[in-house]
Amino acid sequence: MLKYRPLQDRHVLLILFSVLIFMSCNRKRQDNILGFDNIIEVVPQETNISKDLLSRPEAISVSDSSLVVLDHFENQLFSAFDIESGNLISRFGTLGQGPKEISLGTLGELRDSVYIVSNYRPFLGGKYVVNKGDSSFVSAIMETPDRISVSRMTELSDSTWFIMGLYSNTYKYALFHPGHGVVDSIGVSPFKNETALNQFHLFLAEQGQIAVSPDRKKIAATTNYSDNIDFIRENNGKIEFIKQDNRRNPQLIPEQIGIGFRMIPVEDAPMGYLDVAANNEYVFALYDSLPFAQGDYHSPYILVFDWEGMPKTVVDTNEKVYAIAANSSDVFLITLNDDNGYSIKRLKIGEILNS
Amino acid sequence: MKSIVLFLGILTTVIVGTVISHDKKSKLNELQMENIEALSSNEKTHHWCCGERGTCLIAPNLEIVGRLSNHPC
Repeated sequence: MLKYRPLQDRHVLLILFSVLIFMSCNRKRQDNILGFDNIIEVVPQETNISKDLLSRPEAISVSDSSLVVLDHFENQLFSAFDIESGNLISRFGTLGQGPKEISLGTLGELRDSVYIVSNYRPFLGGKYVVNKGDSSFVSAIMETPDRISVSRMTELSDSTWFIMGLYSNTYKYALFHPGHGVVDSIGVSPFKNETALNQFHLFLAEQGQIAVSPDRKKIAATTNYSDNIDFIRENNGKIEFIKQDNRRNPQLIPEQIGIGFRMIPVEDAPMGYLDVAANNEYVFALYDSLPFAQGDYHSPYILVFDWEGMPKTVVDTNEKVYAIAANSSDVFLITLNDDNGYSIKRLKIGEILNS
Repeated sequence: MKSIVLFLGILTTVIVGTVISHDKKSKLNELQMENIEALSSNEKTHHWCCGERGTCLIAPNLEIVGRLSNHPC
Protein backbone atom coordinates (compact mmCIF):
# COMPACT_ATOMS: atom_id res chain seq x y z
CA MET A 1 0.00 0.00 0.00
CA LEU A 2 1.32 3.35 -0.98
CA LYS A 3 1.75 5.88 1.70
CA TYR A 4 0.51 9.40 1.28
CA ARG A 5 3.43 11.76 0.77
CA PRO A 6 2.47 15.40 1.27
CA LEU A 7 5.63 16.63 -0.45
CA GLN A 8 4.39 15.38 -3.84
CA ASP A 9 2.06 18.35 -4.37
CA ARG A 10 4.84 20.68 -3.48
CA HIS A 11 7.07 18.96 -5.96
CA VAL A 12 4.47 19.35 -8.69
CA LEU A 13 4.05 23.00 -7.84
CA LEU A 14 7.82 23.43 -7.85
CA ILE A 15 8.09 21.82 -11.27
CA LEU A 16 5.25 23.95 -12.64
CA PHE A 17 6.83 27.04 -11.20
CA SER A 18 10.20 26.12 -12.75
CA VAL A 19 8.57 25.54 -16.13
CA LEU A 20 6.86 28.93 -15.95
CA ILE A 21 10.14 30.62 -15.02
CA PHE A 22 11.90 28.82 -17.89
CA MET A 23 9.20 29.86 -20.37
CA SER A 24 9.26 33.46 -19.21
CA CYS A 25 13.05 33.56 -19.56
CA ASN A 26 12.86 32.11 -23.04
CA ARG A 27 10.36 34.71 -24.10
CA LYS A 28 11.92 37.64 -22.35
CA ARG A 29 13.53 39.16 -25.45
CA GLN A 30 10.49 38.55 -27.64
CA ASP A 31 8.17 40.39 -25.29
CA ASN A 32 10.22 43.55 -25.29
CA ILE A 33 10.79 44.56 -28.89
CA LEU A 34 9.86 48.22 -28.61
CA GLY A 35 6.23 47.45 -27.90
CA PHE A 36 5.55 45.80 -31.27
CA ASP A 37 2.56 43.53 -30.70
CA ASN A 38 3.04 41.39 -33.79
CA ILE A 39 6.09 39.13 -33.71
CA ILE A 40 6.32 36.42 -36.35
CA GLU A 41 8.88 33.68 -36.77
CA VAL A 42 10.22 33.23 -40.29
CA VAL A 43 12.98 30.80 -41.23
CA PRO A 44 15.42 32.48 -43.68
CA GLN A 45 16.22 30.63 -46.90
CA GLU A 46 19.72 29.76 -47.97
CA THR A 47 21.16 31.49 -51.03
CA ASN A 48 23.56 29.95 -53.54
CA ILE A 49 26.45 32.10 -52.32
CA SER A 50 29.13 29.75 -51.03
CA LYS A 51 30.28 30.26 -47.46
CA ASP A 52 33.82 29.66 -48.70
CA LEU A 53 33.69 32.92 -50.65
CA LEU A 54 33.01 34.94 -47.50
CA SER A 55 35.65 36.08 -45.04
CA ARG A 56 34.05 38.23 -42.39
CA PRO A 57 31.25 40.18 -44.08
CA GLU A 58 30.04 43.26 -42.24
CA ALA A 59 27.60 45.07 -44.51
CA ILE A 60 25.48 44.19 -47.48
CA SER A 61 23.74 45.99 -50.34
CA VAL A 62 21.51 44.50 -53.04
CA SER A 63 19.81 45.29 -56.30
CA ASP A 64 17.31 42.99 -58.00
CA SER A 65 20.13 41.09 -59.74
CA SER A 66 23.32 41.33 -57.70
CA LEU A 67 24.61 41.71 -54.18
CA VAL A 68 27.71 43.38 -52.75
CA VAL A 69 29.18 42.69 -49.33
CA LEU A 70 31.71 44.73 -47.37
CA ASP A 71 34.12 41.89 -46.69
CA HIS A 72 37.81 42.70 -46.34
CA PHE A 73 39.47 40.00 -48.42
CA GLU A 74 43.07 40.08 -49.66
CA ASN A 75 43.31 43.87 -49.50
CA GLN A 76 40.01 44.42 -51.27
CA LEU A 77 36.96 45.68 -49.41
CA PHE A 78 34.04 44.53 -51.54
CA SER A 79 32.78 41.32 -53.16
CA ALA A 80 29.96 41.19 -55.71
CA PHE A 81 27.76 38.15 -56.30
CA ASP A 82 24.95 37.20 -58.64
CA ILE A 83 21.85 36.87 -56.47
CA GLU A 84 20.35 33.81 -58.10
CA SER A 85 23.38 31.75 -59.13
CA GLY A 86 25.55 32.84 -56.20
CA ASN A 87 28.51 33.18 -58.55
CA LEU A 88 31.25 35.60 -57.57
CA ILE A 89 31.13 38.49 -60.04
CA SER A 90 34.18 40.40 -58.81
CA ARG A 91 36.20 41.55 -55.86
CA PHE A 92 37.01 45.24 -55.89
CA GLY A 93 37.85 48.23 -53.72
CA THR A 94 41.60 47.83 -53.39
CA LEU A 95 42.94 49.55 -50.29
CA GLY A 96 45.72 52.06 -50.69
CA GLN A 97 46.51 55.62 -51.57
CA GLY A 98 47.14 55.24 -55.27
CA PRO A 99 44.90 55.80 -58.27
CA LYS A 100 41.77 53.66 -58.21
CA GLU A 101 42.43 52.79 -54.56
CA ILE A 102 40.35 53.60 -51.50
CA SER A 103 40.92 53.88 -47.76
CA LEU A 104 39.49 51.98 -44.80
CA GLY A 105 36.12 53.27 -43.76
CA THR A 106 34.79 53.50 -47.30
CA LEU A 107 31.19 52.31 -47.49
CA GLY A 108 28.87 51.87 -50.41
CA GLU A 109 25.49 50.99 -51.81
CA LEU A 110 24.44 49.12 -54.89
CA ARG A 111 22.19 50.65 -57.54
CA ASP A 112 21.50 48.25 -60.38
CA SER A 113 25.01 47.30 -61.53
CA VAL A 114 26.81 50.33 -60.11
CA TYR A 115 28.27 50.45 -56.62
CA ILE A 116 28.38 53.98 -55.20
CA VAL A 117 31.01 54.51 -52.52
CA SER A 118 31.69 57.35 -50.17
CA ASN A 119 34.20 58.28 -47.55
CA TYR A 120 34.85 61.25 -45.37
CA ARG A 121 38.57 60.66 -45.08
CA PRO A 122 39.02 62.45 -47.52
CA PHE A 123 35.56 63.63 -48.56
CA LEU A 124 35.13 61.36 -51.55
CA GLY A 125 32.44 59.97 -53.77
CA GLY A 126 33.05 57.25 -56.33
CA LYS A 127 31.52 54.56 -58.51
CA TYR A 128 32.38 51.02 -59.57
CA VAL A 129 30.67 48.95 -62.23
CA VAL A 130 30.47 45.69 -60.32
CA ASN A 131 31.23 43.32 -63.20
CA LYS A 132 34.31 45.33 -64.15
CA GLY A 133 35.80 45.77 -60.68
CA ASP A 134 38.63 48.14 -59.86
CA SER A 135 39.32 49.06 -63.47
CA SER A 136 35.95 50.83 -63.66
CA PHE A 137 36.47 52.96 -60.55
CA VAL A 138 35.83 56.66 -61.03
CA SER A 139 36.09 58.94 -58.02
CA ALA A 140 35.93 62.58 -57.15
CA ILE A 141 37.36 64.19 -54.05
CA MET A 142 34.97 66.93 -53.06
CA GLU A 143 35.63 70.04 -51.11
CA THR A 144 35.00 69.22 -47.46
CA PRO A 145 31.94 71.10 -46.22
CA ASP A 146 32.58 73.52 -43.41
CA ARG A 147 31.52 72.61 -39.87
CA ILE A 148 30.39 69.09 -40.72
CA SER A 149 31.40 65.65 -39.47
CA VAL A 150 30.08 62.71 -41.44
CA SER A 151 28.88 59.41 -40.04
CA ARG A 152 27.05 58.26 -43.18
CA MET A 153 26.46 59.86 -46.55
CA THR A 154 24.53 58.85 -49.64
CA GLU A 155 24.14 60.36 -53.08
CA LEU A 156 20.53 61.35 -53.75
CA SER A 157 21.26 62.74 -57.21
CA ASP A 158 24.26 63.73 -59.31
CA SER A 159 24.52 66.97 -57.39
CA THR A 160 23.08 66.20 -53.97
CA TRP A 161 24.36 64.22 -51.01
CA PHE A 162 22.45 63.41 -47.85
CA ILE A 163 24.68 63.42 -44.80
CA MET A 164 24.12 61.97 -41.35
CA GLY A 165 26.53 63.16 -38.67
CA LEU A 166 26.88 66.52 -37.05
CA TYR A 167 26.56 69.89 -38.75
CA SER A 168 27.48 73.11 -37.02
CA ASN A 169 27.60 71.20 -33.70
CA THR A 170 23.80 71.19 -33.81
CA TYR A 171 22.07 69.23 -36.58
CA LYS A 172 22.09 65.49 -37.29
CA TYR A 173 21.15 65.64 -40.96
CA ALA A 174 22.27 67.85 -43.81
CA LEU A 175 21.78 68.16 -47.54
CA PHE A 176 25.01 68.96 -49.34
CA HIS A 177 25.74 70.17 -52.85
CA PRO A 178 29.40 69.92 -53.95
CA GLY A 179 30.37 73.45 -54.83
CA HIS A 180 27.47 75.01 -52.94
CA GLY A 181 28.00 73.52 -49.49
CA VAL A 182 25.25 72.61 -47.04
CA VAL A 183 21.88 73.83 -48.34
CA ASP A 184 19.60 72.44 -45.65
CA SER A 185 19.84 70.81 -42.22
CA ILE A 186 17.37 69.31 -39.75
CA GLY A 187 17.23 67.38 -36.49
CA VAL A 188 18.75 69.03 -33.46
CA SER A 189 21.12 66.73 -31.62
CA PRO A 190 19.80 65.82 -28.14
CA PHE A 191 23.37 66.24 -26.92
CA LYS A 192 23.74 69.79 -28.21
CA ASN A 193 23.66 71.40 -24.78
CA GLU A 194 25.78 68.81 -22.98
CA THR A 195 28.65 70.95 -21.80
CA ALA A 196 30.79 67.91 -20.92
CA LEU A 197 30.97 66.92 -24.58
CA ASN A 198 33.38 68.38 -27.10
CA GLN A 199 32.85 68.32 -30.88
CA PHE A 200 34.39 64.84 -31.17
CA HIS A 201 32.11 63.40 -28.50
CA LEU A 202 29.11 65.04 -30.14
CA PHE A 203 30.04 63.51 -33.48
CA LEU A 204 30.53 60.05 -31.97
CA ALA A 205 27.13 60.29 -30.25
CA GLU A 206 25.39 60.90 -33.56
CA GLN A 207 26.69 57.93 -35.48
CA GLY A 208 24.26 55.55 -37.08
CA GLN A 209 23.06 53.79 -40.19
CA ILE A 210 21.03 55.01 -43.14
CA ALA A 211 18.98 53.39 -45.87
CA VAL A 212 17.62 55.10 -48.95
CA SER A 213 14.57 54.17 -51.00
CA PRO A 214 15.41 53.14 -54.58
CA ASP A 215 13.66 56.27 -55.88
CA ARG A 216 16.26 58.28 -53.89
CA LYS A 217 13.57 60.41 -52.24
CA LYS A 218 13.30 58.90 -48.76
CA ILE A 219 15.88 58.11 -46.09
CA ALA A 220 15.59 56.03 -42.94
CA ALA A 221 18.22 56.75 -40.31
CA THR A 222 18.94 54.93 -37.06
CA THR A 223 21.20 56.17 -34.28
CA ASN A 224 23.62 53.70 -32.73
CA TYR A 225 22.91 52.45 -29.19
CA SER A 226 19.44 53.99 -29.29
CA ASP A 227 15.80 53.14 -29.99
CA ASN A 228 15.56 56.05 -32.40
CA ILE A 229 14.70 55.82 -36.08
CA ASP A 230 13.93 58.80 -38.29
CA PHE A 231 12.02 58.79 -41.56
CA ILE A 232 13.04 61.67 -43.83
CA ARG A 233 12.12 62.84 -47.31
CA GLU A 234 13.90 65.09 -49.78
CA ASN A 235 11.67 67.55 -51.55
CA ASN A 236 12.83 70.26 -53.95
CA GLY A 237 16.24 70.70 -52.41
CA LYS A 238 15.00 70.51 -48.82
CA ILE A 239 14.84 67.70 -46.31
CA GLU A 240 12.02 67.18 -43.85
CA PHE A 241 10.95 64.58 -41.33
CA ILE A 242 8.18 62.21 -42.28
CA LYS A 243 8.29 60.88 -38.73
CA GLN A 244 10.72 60.83 -35.83
CA ASP A 245 10.24 57.62 -33.86
CA ASN A 246 12.55 58.56 -31.01
CA ARG A 247 11.97 56.31 -28.01
CA ARG A 248 15.34 56.27 -26.24
CA ASN A 249 18.43 58.37 -26.78
CA PRO A 250 21.85 56.73 -26.56
CA GLN A 251 23.29 56.62 -23.05
CA LEU A 252 26.98 57.25 -23.53
CA ILE A 253 29.90 58.09 -21.30
CA PRO A 254 32.50 60.44 -22.82
CA GLU A 255 36.13 59.42 -22.49
CA GLN A 256 39.42 60.98 -23.44
CA ILE A 257 42.37 58.65 -23.84
CA GLY A 258 45.56 60.46 -24.67
CA ILE A 259 44.85 62.59 -27.69
CA GLY A 260 41.75 60.62 -28.65
CA PHE A 261 38.09 60.62 -27.74
CA ARG A 262 35.41 57.98 -27.61
CA MET A 263 31.90 57.45 -26.27
CA ILE A 264 31.27 54.31 -24.24
CA PRO A 265 27.69 52.99 -24.05
CA VAL A 266 26.26 52.37 -20.61
CA GLU A 267 26.65 48.65 -20.00
CA ASP A 268 23.04 47.89 -19.10
CA ALA A 269 21.44 49.95 -21.87
CA PRO A 270 20.14 48.04 -24.91
CA MET A 271 22.28 47.89 -28.05
CA GLY A 272 19.28 49.27 -29.96
CA TYR A 273 19.25 49.59 -33.72
CA LEU A 274 22.11 47.83 -35.48
CA ASP A 275 21.34 48.25 -39.18
CA VAL A 276 18.65 49.49 -41.52
CA ALA A 277 17.54 48.65 -45.07
CA ALA A 278 14.76 49.79 -47.35
CA ASN A 279 12.91 49.34 -50.60
CA ASN A 280 10.29 51.65 -52.06
CA GLU A 281 7.56 50.31 -49.78
CA TYR A 282 9.13 49.31 -46.48
CA VAL A 283 11.92 50.00 -44.03
CA PHE A 284 13.60 47.07 -42.25
CA ALA A 285 15.56 47.69 -39.07
CA LEU A 286 17.78 45.17 -37.28
CA TYR A 287 17.25 45.64 -33.56
CA ASP A 288 18.97 44.16 -30.50
CA SER A 289 17.37 44.44 -27.07
CA LEU A 290 20.37 42.95 -25.27
CA PRO A 291 22.45 45.35 -23.15
CA PHE A 292 25.79 46.57 -24.46
CA ALA A 293 27.58 44.39 -21.91
CA GLN A 294 26.15 41.28 -23.60
CA GLY A 295 25.61 42.50 -27.15
CA ASP A 296 27.78 41.58 -30.11
CA TYR A 297 26.16 43.54 -32.96
CA HIS A 298 23.90 40.72 -34.05
CA SER A 299 20.26 40.00 -33.38
CA PRO A 300 17.47 37.75 -34.66
CA TYR A 301 14.93 40.60 -34.76
CA ILE A 302 14.01 42.70 -37.79
CA LEU A 303 11.44 45.44 -37.32
CA VAL A 304 9.34 46.33 -40.35
CA PHE A 305 7.90 49.82 -40.89
CA ASP A 306 6.17 51.50 -43.79
CA TRP A 307 7.61 54.77 -45.06
CA GLU A 308 5.18 56.75 -42.92
CA GLY A 309 7.02 55.26 -39.97
CA MET A 310 4.14 53.02 -38.98
CA PRO A 311 5.25 49.72 -37.39
CA LYS A 312 4.06 46.67 -39.32
CA THR A 313 5.61 43.64 -37.65
CA VAL A 314 8.68 42.14 -36.03
CA VAL A 315 10.37 39.18 -37.70
CA ASP A 316 12.14 36.69 -35.46
CA THR A 317 14.66 34.95 -37.72
CA ASN A 318 16.19 32.75 -35.02
CA GLU A 319 19.56 33.64 -36.56
CA LYS A 320 22.53 35.74 -35.53
CA VAL A 321 21.97 38.49 -38.08
CA TYR A 322 24.80 41.02 -38.44
CA ALA A 323 23.56 43.13 -41.34
CA ILE A 324 20.60 43.45 -43.66
CA ALA A 325 19.74 44.80 -47.11
CA ALA A 326 16.54 44.82 -49.15
CA ASN A 327 15.44 44.84 -52.76
CA SER A 328 11.94 44.79 -54.18
CA SER A 329 11.22 41.19 -53.17
CA ASP A 330 13.63 40.04 -50.44
CA VAL A 331 15.51 41.01 -47.34
CA PHE A 332 19.06 39.63 -47.40
CA LEU A 333 20.90 38.82 -44.20
CA ILE A 334 24.49 38.27 -43.15
CA THR A 335 24.29 35.54 -40.54
CA LEU A 336 26.85 33.95 -38.24
CA ASN A 337 26.51 30.18 -38.18
CA ASP A 338 27.11 27.69 -35.40
CA ASP A 339 30.47 26.77 -36.98
CA ASN A 340 31.48 30.48 -36.77
CA GLY A 341 31.30 30.78 -40.54
CA TYR A 342 29.12 33.35 -42.28
CA SER A 343 26.23 32.94 -44.71
CA ILE A 344 24.07 35.14 -46.87
CA LYS A 345 20.42 34.23 -46.39
CA ARG A 346 17.16 35.73 -47.59
CA LEU A 347 13.64 36.40 -46.34
CA LYS A 348 10.77 36.72 -48.79
CA ILE A 349 9.05 40.03 -48.05
CA GLY A 350 5.71 38.67 -49.22
CA GLU A 351 6.02 35.81 -46.76
CA ILE A 352 6.78 38.24 -43.94
CA LEU A 353 3.87 40.53 -44.53
CA ASN A 354 1.32 37.81 -45.27
CA SER A 355 2.12 35.86 -42.10
CA MET B 1 53.85 49.01 -14.07
CA LYS B 2 50.33 50.40 -14.35
CA SER B 3 51.27 52.55 -17.32
CA ILE B 4 52.74 49.54 -19.08
CA VAL B 5 49.49 47.62 -18.57
CA LEU B 6 47.49 50.55 -19.89
CA PHE B 7 49.79 50.87 -22.87
CA LEU B 8 49.42 47.19 -23.70
CA GLY B 9 45.66 47.50 -23.29
CA ILE B 10 45.24 50.23 -25.86
CA LEU B 11 47.82 48.73 -28.18
CA THR B 12 45.96 45.43 -28.11
CA THR B 13 42.69 47.23 -28.60
CA VAL B 14 43.76 49.03 -31.72
CA ILE B 15 45.84 46.28 -33.28
CA VAL B 16 43.20 43.63 -32.70
CA GLY B 17 40.54 45.93 -34.05
CA THR B 18 42.33 47.14 -37.11
CA VAL B 19 44.85 44.50 -38.07
CA ILE B 20 44.15 41.01 -36.83
CA SER B 21 40.40 40.90 -37.24
CA HIS B 22 40.57 40.14 -40.95
CA ASP B 23 42.65 38.05 -43.26
CA LYS B 24 45.65 39.64 -44.90
CA LYS B 25 45.05 43.20 -43.85
CA SER B 26 47.30 46.12 -44.55
CA LYS B 27 49.94 46.98 -41.95
CA LEU B 28 49.96 50.15 -39.91
CA ASN B 29 52.49 52.69 -40.99
CA GLU B 30 54.91 54.40 -38.62
CA LEU B 31 52.83 57.54 -38.26
CA GLN B 32 49.77 55.54 -37.31
CA MET B 33 51.80 53.57 -34.76
CA GLU B 34 53.08 56.80 -33.22
CA ASN B 35 49.54 58.11 -32.99
CA ILE B 36 48.34 54.88 -31.42
CA GLU B 37 51.10 55.05 -28.81
CA ALA B 38 49.99 58.58 -28.03
CA LEU B 39 46.52 57.26 -27.32
CA SER B 40 47.70 54.92 -24.63
CA SER B 41 48.43 57.39 -21.89
CA ASN B 42 45.30 57.17 -19.76
CA GLU B 43 42.86 54.52 -20.92
CA LYS B 44 40.23 53.98 -18.22
CA THR B 45 38.22 51.11 -19.68
CA HIS B 46 39.12 48.28 -21.98
CA HIS B 47 37.31 48.13 -25.25
CA TRP B 48 38.11 46.96 -28.76
CA CYS B 49 37.47 48.52 -32.14
CA CYS B 50 36.11 45.79 -34.39
CA GLY B 51 35.47 45.77 -38.12
CA GLU B 52 35.23 48.58 -40.61
CA ARG B 53 31.86 50.19 -40.01
CA GLY B 54 31.73 53.47 -38.18
CA THR B 55 34.15 55.50 -36.12
CA CYS B 56 35.36 53.87 -32.92
CA LEU B 57 37.78 56.51 -31.71
CA ILE B 58 38.64 59.92 -33.02
CA ALA B 59 41.42 62.41 -32.43
CA PRO B 60 42.60 65.44 -34.37
CA ASN B 61 43.92 64.04 -37.67
CA LEU B 62 43.36 60.45 -36.61
CA GLU B 63 40.36 58.19 -36.76
CA ILE B 64 40.13 54.54 -35.76
CA VAL B 65 37.50 52.80 -37.87
CA GLY B 66 35.28 50.15 -36.33
CA ARG B 67 32.57 49.50 -33.81
CA LEU B 68 33.16 49.54 -30.10
CA SER B 69 33.13 46.18 -28.39
CA ASN B 70 33.69 45.15 -24.81
CA HIS B 71 35.42 41.95 -25.83
CA PRO B 72 38.08 41.04 -28.38
CA CYS B 73 36.99 40.90 -32.01
